[in-house]
Amino acid sequence: MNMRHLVSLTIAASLLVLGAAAEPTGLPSRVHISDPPSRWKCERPEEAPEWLVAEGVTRPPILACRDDAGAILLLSYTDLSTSRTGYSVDTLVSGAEDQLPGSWRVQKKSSAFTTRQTPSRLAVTRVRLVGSGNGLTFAAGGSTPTLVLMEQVPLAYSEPPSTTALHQYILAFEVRTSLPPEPRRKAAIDERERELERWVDTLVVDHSIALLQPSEFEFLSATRVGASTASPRPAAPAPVAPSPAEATAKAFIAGDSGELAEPTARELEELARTESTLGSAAAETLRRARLRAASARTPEVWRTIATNTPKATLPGLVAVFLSAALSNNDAVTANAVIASATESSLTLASFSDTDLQSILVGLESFPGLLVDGGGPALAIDAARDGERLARLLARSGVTFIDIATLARPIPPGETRWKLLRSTPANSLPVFVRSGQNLGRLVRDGATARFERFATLVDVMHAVRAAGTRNSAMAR
Amino acid sequence: MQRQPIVSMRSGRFGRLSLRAAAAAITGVLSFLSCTTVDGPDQPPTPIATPDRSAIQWDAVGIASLPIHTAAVIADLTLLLDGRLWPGYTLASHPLLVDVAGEALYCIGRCVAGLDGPLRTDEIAGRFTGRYSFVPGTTVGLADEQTVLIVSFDPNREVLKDIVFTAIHEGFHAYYQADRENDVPLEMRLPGNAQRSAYASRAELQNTYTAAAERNGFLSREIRALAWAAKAGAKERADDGELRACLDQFLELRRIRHSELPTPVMEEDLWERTEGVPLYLERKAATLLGRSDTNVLEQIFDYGVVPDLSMVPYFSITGALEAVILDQLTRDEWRTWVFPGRSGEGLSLYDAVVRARSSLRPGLPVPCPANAGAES
Repeated sequence: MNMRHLVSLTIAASLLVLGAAAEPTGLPSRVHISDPPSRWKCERPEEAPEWLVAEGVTRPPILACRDDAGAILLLSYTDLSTSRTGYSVDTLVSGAEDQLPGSWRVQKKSSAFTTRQTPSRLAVTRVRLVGSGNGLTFAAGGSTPTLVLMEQVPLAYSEPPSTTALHQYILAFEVRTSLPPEPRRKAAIDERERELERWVDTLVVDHSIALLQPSEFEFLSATRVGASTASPRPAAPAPVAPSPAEATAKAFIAGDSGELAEPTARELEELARTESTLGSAAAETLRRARLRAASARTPEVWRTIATNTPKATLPGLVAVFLSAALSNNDAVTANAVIASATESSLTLASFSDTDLQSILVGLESFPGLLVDGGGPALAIDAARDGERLARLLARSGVTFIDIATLARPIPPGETRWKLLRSTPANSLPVFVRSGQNLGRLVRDGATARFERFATLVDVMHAVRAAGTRNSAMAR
Repeated sequence: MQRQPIVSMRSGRFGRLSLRAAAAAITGVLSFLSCTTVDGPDQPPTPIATPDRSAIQWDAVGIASLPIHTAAVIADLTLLLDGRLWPGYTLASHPLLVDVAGEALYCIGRCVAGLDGPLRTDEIAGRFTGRYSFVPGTTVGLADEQTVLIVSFDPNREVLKDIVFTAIHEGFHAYYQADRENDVPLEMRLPGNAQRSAYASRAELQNTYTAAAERNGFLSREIRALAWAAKAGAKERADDGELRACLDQFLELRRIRHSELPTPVMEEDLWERTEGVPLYLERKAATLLGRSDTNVLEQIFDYGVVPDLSMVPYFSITGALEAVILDQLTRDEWRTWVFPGRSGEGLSLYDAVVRARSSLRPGLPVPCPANAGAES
C-alpha cells in the first residue's frame, strides 16, 4: 500500500465531502480508492466526528484516521481555484510562517519539532520540510498542519496562460500524536518524523488526477527554454544543477531566517509579483523578513534622525512619531523614539503644548507600550509641569483637585486620607495636586491612599482606568 | 413664495472680471473633464493618464524600514503636514506619495483607511519621470480615485531638504488651494484651452508684464518696499513707523503701476495668492525644521537683492512677502481672509494687506528706507 493510492483516495473523498455546491469542476472524475497505509483506521465523514470535535476540529476533513495508540491523522482539502491571492492558505495553515516549495522527496527538515497539546493531551506535531522535484510544494509549519501539499508547478515556470485552468488546492496532512512521558518522548517524536518522511518519500500521485507528473514537469521546463516538443518526453533523471524550485526554496528559507541577501530578495520579489499562491507566500515572506530587519534597525535609525535633527525641531518630531507609533500599537518604534528623546536629554519641558497634546493622544491608545513608563523624557516634575499638565489634561476630562485649597486643607505631605462616608465609590480616582506632587487617590478600604504620578504614562493609565470604571458604572 | 435666484455678491478685485470669468468657467469645466494630461511644476491637480498600476500592493512599514535618507525626508514631511505648518493642510485625508528613483514609492498620510503612517510599496519605483505628478489614487494602488501628488526625487542627485520644500509647496496647491479656489476660472490654468486667451496666462504675466524696463522698475521697488516692511515687522519690537511707511510705499507703487501701465489685475491677484502662499510656506517650513531657508525670499531679506524677474515670477515673490507681513500683522487671522472656506470668496493678498494696514495705529511719519535714492 502506498501513498499513490492514499492521495487518489483523498481526492475522491474530497469530491464526496465537498458535495455538489463546492465541487471543483475541473477535477478529474475517475479516481481510485484504496486503503491508507499502515495501521491507520480511517473514515471519510460528512461531518466532523465527535472524537474530532473534542479535539477542536469542527470542519470535516477528507479523511480522518486513528491508530491504536490514539494518534490522529487528518487529511483536509482546500480549493483555491476561486481564490485570487491564495490567502486561504493562511486560513488552513493557521499562522504558518513558511510556505516552502518542494517536491515529492523531502530534502531537509528543520531540527525543531514542536508540539502543542489538545484538551485530551494529544500532541499536535509540527515539522518543517523542504523538498524539490517535480513541482509539488511542501509547506509546513504554523501551529496546526504537519504537512501541506500544494499544486503549484506552473508558478515556478513563468506561469503559462493555461495555468488559470489548473486546479489550485491544498492537501494538508496533520498528525496528532499522544506523546509518552518525557523519557520516551523524543523517541516517539523521532518515530513520527521517520514515518512522516517515509510517507512523503513514497508519495506518488496517480496521473489521472490534476497533479502534474514528472514527465509533464520536464515538458514545461523544456517549453520555457524554447525547445519544441510535441509530446512529453520520458522522465529524465533529476538535474544536477539546482532547479528553480530549489532556488525558490532556498530563498524562502533565507527569508524566514531573516538573512535576505540581495539576489535572494530579488528572487522573492520576482516571485511575489506573480498572481499566485506561491507569489502571495513570497510577498508575505518578504514582508516578514523586512519587518524583522526594520525592527532590528529601528533604534539606530531613530538615533540617526535625532542626531541630524536641529535641537529646536526634535521635540515636535518626537511627539508626532511617538503619538503615531502609540496609536498604531507599534511598541518597537515607540520605544526607539522615546530612547532617542532621552539620549537627546528631552524632558516634558522640552515639548510645546501641541507636542504634549499629541503625545497624550497617543498614550490614550496604548499607554502600556513604553518600557519604563517612557523614562526621563516623560517623567513629571510636578513643580515644573504640574500647572501645564493640569491645563492640558482638562481637555481630556481630567480635573485635578488641589487639596491644599480645599475648605479643610490637608497637609501636602499627607499620603492617606480617611474617606468621608458621603464619598461615593465612583468618585475615585480623584486626580490630586498635592504640594509638589501630582497623583490620584486610590480607595484602600476605608481610607484613600495618594499615588504619585511619576510619568505621563502613569497619568494616562489612571485616565484609562477611570474611564473604564466610569463607563462600567454608567452601564 | 417665489424663490429668488441666489446671487452671490462679488467684491474686491476678483469681482472686476467676474462676467468674463463666469463665461469662461463653463468652457473651462468642459475642458477640464476632457483633459487627459497636465503636468509640470505648479499646475493644478489634474488627473493624468497613467498606465495601469493596479498591481501595486502597499505595505505598512515603520520609518526604520526606509533607507536613512528617505526616512529623513518622510520624517520632515510628516512633521510639517501634521497641521503645524498650516492648520487644515494635513495628510489626514490626502496622502502624499514620494517616489524615490530606483528605490520604491512611499506613501505618507492616510494611505489606507484607518491606518496612519508611512507606507511603502513592494514595487520598485522609477516610473514617474516628472518631478511632480498628479494621478488618480487608484492608479497607484490606493483605494479611491482622489487625486494624489507624487513627488519624485533621486537621492543621489538632489538635495533632500529641497525635496521637502517642493513637496510642501506642490502639496499645498493640490491639497489645500484646489479645494478653496473656486473663484479661479479653470481655463486660466489649462494649457490648450480655447478660452484661455481671454486671460493673461501665467507665462505672459511673468514675461510680457515684466519685460519693459519701466514695469521692471516698479516691480523691483514694490518688492524692496515689501521686504523692508517685512524686516521692520520681524524686529523683536516691531518698528511700526517703518513698517507703516514701507507698506504705504508698496501700496502707492502698485497703485501707480496699475494706473499707468495696463495690468491684468485679476490674474495678478490670483497668481500672487496661488504661488505666493506656498512660497511663504517653504520659508515657514524651513523655520519649523530649524533649517536654513534656501528659497528666494532669504536672498531678498538677507542681501536686499531683487532677483532677475524674468527668471523668478514676481507674483510669487510679492505674494510670499505679503503673506509674511500678514503673519506679522494679524497672526493667523489673515488665513481665513484669504481662504475663507465655503463661507465666501477670499480676499486677494493685496486686499488683505490693505485691510491689515488699516488696523495699524497712526504714528509719526518716518521714511521707508527701501527705495531711498531710487527713481520713482
